[in-house]
Amino acid sequence: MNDTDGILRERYAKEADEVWFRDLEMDERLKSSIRAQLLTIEPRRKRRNAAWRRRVYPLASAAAVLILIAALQFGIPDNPLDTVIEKGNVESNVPEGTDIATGTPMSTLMDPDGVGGRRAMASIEDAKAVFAGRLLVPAYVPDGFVLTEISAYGESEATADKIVLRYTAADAGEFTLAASLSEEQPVPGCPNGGESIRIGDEQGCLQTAADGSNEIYLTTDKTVYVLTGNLPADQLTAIAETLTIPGGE
Amino acid sequence: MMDRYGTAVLRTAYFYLGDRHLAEDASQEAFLRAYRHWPRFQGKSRVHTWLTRIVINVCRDKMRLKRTSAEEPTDPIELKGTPRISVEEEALARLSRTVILQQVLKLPAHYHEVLYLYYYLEFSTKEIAEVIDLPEGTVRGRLHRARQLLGERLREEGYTP
Repeated sequence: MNDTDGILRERYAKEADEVWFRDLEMDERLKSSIRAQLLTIEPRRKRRNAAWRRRVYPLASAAAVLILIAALQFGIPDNPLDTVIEKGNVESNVPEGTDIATGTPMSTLMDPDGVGGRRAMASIEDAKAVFAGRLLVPAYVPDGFVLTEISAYGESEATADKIVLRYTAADAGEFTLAASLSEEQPVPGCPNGGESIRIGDEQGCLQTAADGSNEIYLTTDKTVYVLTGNLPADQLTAIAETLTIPGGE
Repeated sequence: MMDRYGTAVLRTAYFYLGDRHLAEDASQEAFLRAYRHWPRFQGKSRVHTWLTRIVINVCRDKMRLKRTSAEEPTDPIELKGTPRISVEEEALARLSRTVILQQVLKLPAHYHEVLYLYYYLEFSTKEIAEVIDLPEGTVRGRLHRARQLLGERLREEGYTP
């Protein structure tokens, strides 16, 4: 932008403020109205999600049975994870005595959210490299949980800006940690509802869905972390509190 | 988020809709949409850009609805050509005292939007392309022509920035 453009911009803004937008501010009345709307929308959204799950789960179960039959028919490799996750890269997250091979095989599906292509990563080190070494991962996971999937999302590996770590337990469900890079510092706390919580020195946000699943939002270092799972809120919070850069800093 | 971007969102809605009450409705809806999609916000753009795209889409939806239900055309671009914003005498008087806006409003309607996004919201051409869903090359061309025409008109009026 040249000097003339700068002057025009300044003048345009000044005139627009005086003529079009005079006294036009988002006041407390409007903010309160929006907050009230948010409170009424939340339960409706959750109910719709629950209805969606009721419709999809039977189909998913049927698909799982078909896959199992196919697997029994054609055989399964001894350790499907050996080809994708190198043992030893995720020690800090694997409870002692747990065999990582007992976890869920990595999916080769594209991102179910439709946000860029999914790329399986071999190790936490690879995932860290995507975030220039600044990726936080939990130092603590509850007993029985193992890291079974590390994925990067983006148009290419070089431009990947989201990492998802999936932890599963044979009989206790799963939780995921999604880390998304942001060009500017994301809004901390609960900009859109939820319970504001402290995670170490940071302001986090806890949201509990009607189906009992919990989500914790944490923003730090131009990154948004979302911890989601069917774990109790205190357990998820305990995991969030141990988010650290593995092996350093 | 509302504290930080609320006024900008409201003003953008007002720019498109030209009515304070409609703009408040659109802002409310935009924040509700933003709330629903917040967990999926990828951080690929600035929050401001993301919110602006949402509020522009809300405004377009509202104008589309209005166009199908009423005889009055509500193209946002036309709003500046027939400045609904300035229907009050006081506003007209204020407009008459402006230098830039008067000339902007004389430009073909499709230039108003890019000039607002570029000069008022200070978006880059890439961001403008993102929020109005046009190729960046188209935005660059449109903005270049808009600034060129605006410059010519200002010179004709004896204004030299």
